Amino acid sequence: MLVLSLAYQSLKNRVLTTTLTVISIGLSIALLIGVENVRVGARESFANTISQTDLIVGARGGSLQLLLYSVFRIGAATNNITYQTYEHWKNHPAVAWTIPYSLGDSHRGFRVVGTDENFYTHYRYRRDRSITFESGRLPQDVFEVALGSDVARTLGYKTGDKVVITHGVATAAGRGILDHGDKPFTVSGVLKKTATPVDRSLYIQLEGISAVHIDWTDGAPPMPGEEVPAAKITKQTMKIDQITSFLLRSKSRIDTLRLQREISTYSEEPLQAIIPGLTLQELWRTIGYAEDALTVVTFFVIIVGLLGMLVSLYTSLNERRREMAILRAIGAGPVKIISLLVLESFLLSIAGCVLGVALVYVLSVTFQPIVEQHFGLYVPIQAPTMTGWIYLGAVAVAGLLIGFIPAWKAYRNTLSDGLSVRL
Amino acid sequence: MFMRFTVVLVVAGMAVFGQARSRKAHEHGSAKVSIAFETATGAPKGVIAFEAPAESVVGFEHEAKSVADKTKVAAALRMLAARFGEMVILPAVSACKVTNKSAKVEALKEQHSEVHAEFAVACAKPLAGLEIRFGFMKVFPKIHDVEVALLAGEQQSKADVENDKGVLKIAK
Repeated sequence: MLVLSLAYQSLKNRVLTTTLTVISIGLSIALLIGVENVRVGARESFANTISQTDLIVGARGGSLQLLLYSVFRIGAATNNITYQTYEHWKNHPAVAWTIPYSLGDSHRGFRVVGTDENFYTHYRYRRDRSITFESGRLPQDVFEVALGSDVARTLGYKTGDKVVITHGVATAAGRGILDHGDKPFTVSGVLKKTATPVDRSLYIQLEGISAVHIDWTDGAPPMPGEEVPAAKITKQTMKIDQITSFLLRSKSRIDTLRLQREISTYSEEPLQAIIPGLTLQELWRTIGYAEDALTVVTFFVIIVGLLGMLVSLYTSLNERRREMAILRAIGAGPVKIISLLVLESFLLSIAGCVLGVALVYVLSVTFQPIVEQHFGLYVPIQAPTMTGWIYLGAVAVAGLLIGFIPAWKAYRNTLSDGLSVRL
Repeated sequence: MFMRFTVVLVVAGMAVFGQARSRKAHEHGSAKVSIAFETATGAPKGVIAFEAPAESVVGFEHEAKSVADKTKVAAALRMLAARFGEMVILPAVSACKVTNKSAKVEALKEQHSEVHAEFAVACAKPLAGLEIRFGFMKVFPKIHDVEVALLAGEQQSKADVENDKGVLKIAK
């Protein structure tokens, strides 16, 4: 108890050095725990880009390719699915709901997605969040479009504006090769930000995709005079022939496995069905190496913080030779001298840990909504994870062990100082 | 930011796509297990599907025509049905009962065949927060690389189990 009091008073006596050392360790800890939280948050956010969807179904090909074009709007499908096949699975007794996607067109670098009402009703991300509107409503007419929030913000569109979609994928800089200029769409609503790829697409009805291609032949636009005017097109007259992929929710998770097998062996059309969570995990495993690199860097930061503490204690010893000699003179044994220095080091590292954790919480509470809004990264505010506690324990133990170096030096000094004439 | 992320995804996608393409559908020594529970809470009920090259389970892949071969197939399938609980080790505290629903050898193209089996699982206590462990090699020493998929409520996760090492955590 006496040693503890002495250690406390000694640290208090050197308040500036103590504060700087604690801040240095605290910042290192905050970085380490912060990176751990960001890592967990990034993995969670990535895994929850799409939720409550049991299967994604598309033409047979690569599972990653299907995930990339259906969820991230990257790349393109090798084949489409006939609408007849889609309806077969949509009406399957084990299926609760489906969301069809028809891809292939774009608008100034953003993908256009043909879908139906089920997208607005059933699509979920980040566990149970659904699609909601910032303004306006979902498209009801063939030539209405709902905009993802990034699309509206980047292009400055609002409800009521006219949008011309491009055949194929156009560059962000300008128009594509062929525009569907004779059939413009009216913005019916803007979706609320989801911080997922949903924000970067335009949503029209499946009939809208058919409508803009109604007078096209073999991928070519109509000859002059052969165009079908937009005014003559209604939702009821549109026939949907094919879609690109669809999301599927089964009535029970047990049915999911059976459905996946049935879809993959469907004899009418070569299909594949992937479980999105598993494919996302596979993808994360590949891009997740970056998180290991980040952890390595933060470990080095911790080492630098601890070395700073060692240097601080070690260099202060010279100033404290008189203090040590007095302690020896009044009867403090070597164990007491060593305990004092080790305890000081331990207290510094504990204070650093406390400061670091507090910093993480303050920063998380302050910046969590901003980070989520701008980067789509949901950093959880929670007690340190098991890994976090291991890090904290390791730093505390490292602080304790490092204390032995100056302690041993102090003990040696007190011996030589005791024999010397001058201090 | 998005563009950089997109590039990373595309490159990663190509890398994983490449891996997926190089993985043979029928690879001796490997197996695939799919586990599905409607929920991990309460008294969970679910199914487990198992598929593996027949060579890894029965010891050969040609059609069993002789009496000796037919006996071997029957014995291997009996062992699979009886000892599956040692291969997919559900948490003991959940008191799960695993019942074999089907087990058969299915012929594939190019002289290959696979074992397909399905099991029903009924647990008395929740599985949430617990772990599933594996012991394939104890029963069939040739099965050393198993891809295990788990669906439990909204959880969708997978584990690559090599030489029986690896666990699947069931979310709380």
